[in-house]
Amino acid sequence: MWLGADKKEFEAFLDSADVYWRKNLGSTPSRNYLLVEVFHQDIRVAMRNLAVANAIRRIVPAQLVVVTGVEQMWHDALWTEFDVKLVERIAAAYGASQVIDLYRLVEGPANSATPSSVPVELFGRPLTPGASISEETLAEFVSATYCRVTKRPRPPENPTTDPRYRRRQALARAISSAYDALLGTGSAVALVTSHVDYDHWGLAVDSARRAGVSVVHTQQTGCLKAYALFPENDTGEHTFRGELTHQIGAFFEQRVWSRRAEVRRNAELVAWRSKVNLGRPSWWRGGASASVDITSSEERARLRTHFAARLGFDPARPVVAVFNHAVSDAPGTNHQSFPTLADWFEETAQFASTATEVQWLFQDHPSQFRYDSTDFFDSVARRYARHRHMVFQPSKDLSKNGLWSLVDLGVTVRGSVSNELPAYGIPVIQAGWSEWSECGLSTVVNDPETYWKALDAAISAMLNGEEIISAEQVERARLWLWFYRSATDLFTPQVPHWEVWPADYLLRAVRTSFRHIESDADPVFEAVERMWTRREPVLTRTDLQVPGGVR
Amino acid sequence: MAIGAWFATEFDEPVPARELPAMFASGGDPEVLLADQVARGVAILGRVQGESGAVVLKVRTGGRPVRVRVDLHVDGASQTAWSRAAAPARGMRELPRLVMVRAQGSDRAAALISRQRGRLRMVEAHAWVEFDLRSDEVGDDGLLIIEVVDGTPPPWAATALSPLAAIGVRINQVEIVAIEEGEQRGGSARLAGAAAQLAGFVSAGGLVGARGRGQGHPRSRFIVVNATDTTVRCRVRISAATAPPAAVRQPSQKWLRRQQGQTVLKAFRVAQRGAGYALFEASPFTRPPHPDRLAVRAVHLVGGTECRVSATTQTEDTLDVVIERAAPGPVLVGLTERDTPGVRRRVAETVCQVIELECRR
Repeated sequence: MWLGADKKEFEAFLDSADVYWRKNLGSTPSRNYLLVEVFHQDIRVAMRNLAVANAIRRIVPAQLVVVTGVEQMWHDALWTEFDVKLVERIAAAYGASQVIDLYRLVEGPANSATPSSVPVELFGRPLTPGASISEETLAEFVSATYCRVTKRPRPPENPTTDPRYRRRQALARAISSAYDALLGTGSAVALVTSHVDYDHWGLAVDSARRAGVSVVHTQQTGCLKAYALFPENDTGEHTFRGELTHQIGAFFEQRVWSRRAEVRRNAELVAWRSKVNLGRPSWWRGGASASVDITSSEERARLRTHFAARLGFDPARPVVAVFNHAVSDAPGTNHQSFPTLADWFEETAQFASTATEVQWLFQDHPSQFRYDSTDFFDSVARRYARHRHMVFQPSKDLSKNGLWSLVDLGVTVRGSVSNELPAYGIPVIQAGWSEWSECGLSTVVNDPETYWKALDAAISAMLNGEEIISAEQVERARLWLWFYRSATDLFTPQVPHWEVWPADYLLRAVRTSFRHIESDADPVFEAVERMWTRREPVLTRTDLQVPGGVR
Repeated sequence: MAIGAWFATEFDEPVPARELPAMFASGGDPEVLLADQVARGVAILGRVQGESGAVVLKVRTGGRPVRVRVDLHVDGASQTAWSRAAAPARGMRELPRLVMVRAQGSDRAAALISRQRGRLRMVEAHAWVEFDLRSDEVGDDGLLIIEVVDGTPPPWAATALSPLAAIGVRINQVEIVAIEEGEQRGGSARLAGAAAQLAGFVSAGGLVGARGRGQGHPRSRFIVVNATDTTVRCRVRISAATAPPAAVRQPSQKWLRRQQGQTVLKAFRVAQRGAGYALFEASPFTRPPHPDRLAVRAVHLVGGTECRVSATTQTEDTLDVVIERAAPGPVLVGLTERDTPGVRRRVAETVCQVIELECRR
């Protein structure tokens, strides 16, 4: 655990958490248990997982089992410091009965000839692994993890020649079998996880889904946000996020769109507030004070001339902006039209080089350096350096005002621009699914063929001066902003907002909550109970009932 | 419906346009919009955060031509912001900044801003630029875009001027007044150096102090001439000054970034300045070159073409530089020594100061 906190503050926090949970939850004789992962070094992530887990334990009596651990390759790729000892102490304070160091558990088997036989013990009893993962799925997880830890957009031709790949393979096999043992016993109540991709997170989700265990996925933004996939709602056809995409789409249609008249003004307020940067998932733009100051077409036209001159564009011709992703970020986590994010980007650039009637702005992801070590974006940029109608640049080089005044059409796979831009009347094509892709705010395509058709259609419409975004899409996009930032963002004193940082402030705020606020009617208990008992796909701030009263 | 129609929400309040004459002196005013990479100020308009920065001012000109006056300012925080972005290597010096002020998308005037190096402290510098806009340049929308960008110096001056010059520059205030149709700035005028810099006709490092009243010591061998007249005569005094100080660098060690570390660094910088001055006073190699030994070059900053310039020696240390401009826009004038420099570069450098400016029609 990486923690730039004062020792005293941390001890006081642990102490108060321990007392709080002992009095509010107590011990249970039940042999059932709830699995929570703490693989992320940020205490804010761990805190969210543990808070949701304990709220579930108030409804379903169960032991708390925490899996954690760190491994060299992940450490090199991501962490600055990861201290398993600290995780153990936090877990104990939140009432965990057992903490499993996953990587210590699988290290031996992964180095042996039979990586899939991992001896897992829980409460002193050995567990027998359940049905194992399919080879195909396992290979996908290995490849995604390998790309991520080696920071490359796609695996090489023959990855097995790389010892790092073989190590990830052995580890994945061992990890998957450990999770099969932990989640396949029939006593596991739920899995609470902060991530659903890569080996130590994704394989847990996969094991849980196969074993029919509910999965709760907490989010790293806002106060407390979580999605949940319950076995009875799981069709098994898509990835975890793919399943949720459908369910969130339906939930949005039924509970939000239907009451649009009622929440319209609230949605307007969120839309107004979203003009500045509201934090993760951040829409990083140039300038620390990224805000949108323009409010009309005339103002946009004035700025457009200005920014077009800077990029060498003709302000009179349409501009299409393509937002590159962090190329190794969770490959295949949700449905994508193209095999990899890199394929999508390269082929779109190829398409753009022939579509000279419009101008193309390629924006790179601001955190790309954490995800790519192969110079992918610049290599594509060099290929088209001679094309005057294509500009490649890091997204931080253009302010939010500049972006909004230039872009006539946004293109992404699952980037958050696809819910931001439509809220302000800029159309977006999504070459893949995301949380909001079924809420009807963007044009979503499922395969390359329809993608090219959609691009062609949008380009000719822009050239003819036709409208490609409807008033309904804008309204839906603003409602999504409200849904995302307000309706599904639960505020509870024991999980302060993500922006409450540095660690000392956070710990003091949580300690105050544990020590001084009576726990009755803490919204987190009520909200988690609502989600759990009604099997809803998302944690909600208030009871969003279906209009008409039937549930 | 064109894109932009949905930019406003119910919670956006209509922004009024300001009437002429208008003075914009606070970034907190509703008529000030930030277009690009500028941090809003409270007592000033804002500070440029990136390689360029732009603000949009809402002003109702009523179809009249206007005169715009911009106050730019470089202080210690400007240098800190600059070093964060430019990451200067050890041994790099704090060089003069050449910035271009653009309005409505085209270059209008340039400024050369450089902090005066006092015996112990660096003194902040103010530069003013002034330019006219035609009646059709600010439309009915009332939006005036003022942008501060890097000037593009010619190769012969590039190494002596700061890269990423616009980062950290403060835009203190912008004043807009209506003028008569066809009214020209300047005219046949003869001004002293400080007055010429205050009026925005020339820029040679800017005026010094927080309010910027005097010319201070000379500090670079460049002058930017913004006067619009075709022929401009500039009398400059040649002297030697201590070499510019080392550029402010971001401390690499964590403890140096803390309060105490910063105090140590500050004391170190002050000592360095003092030592530089002592060395300068003691060194026998700090006599300024005779004006005859100097070559004068000039370039149009818009377009980058050479500008006709001639120089006549007046006295032992003064030189008359006559610029005959072929195109409108600011001109950068630089002095270089014809043969091996007489001053030791590490100790001192040749600098000049405008003492008189005469514009002729």
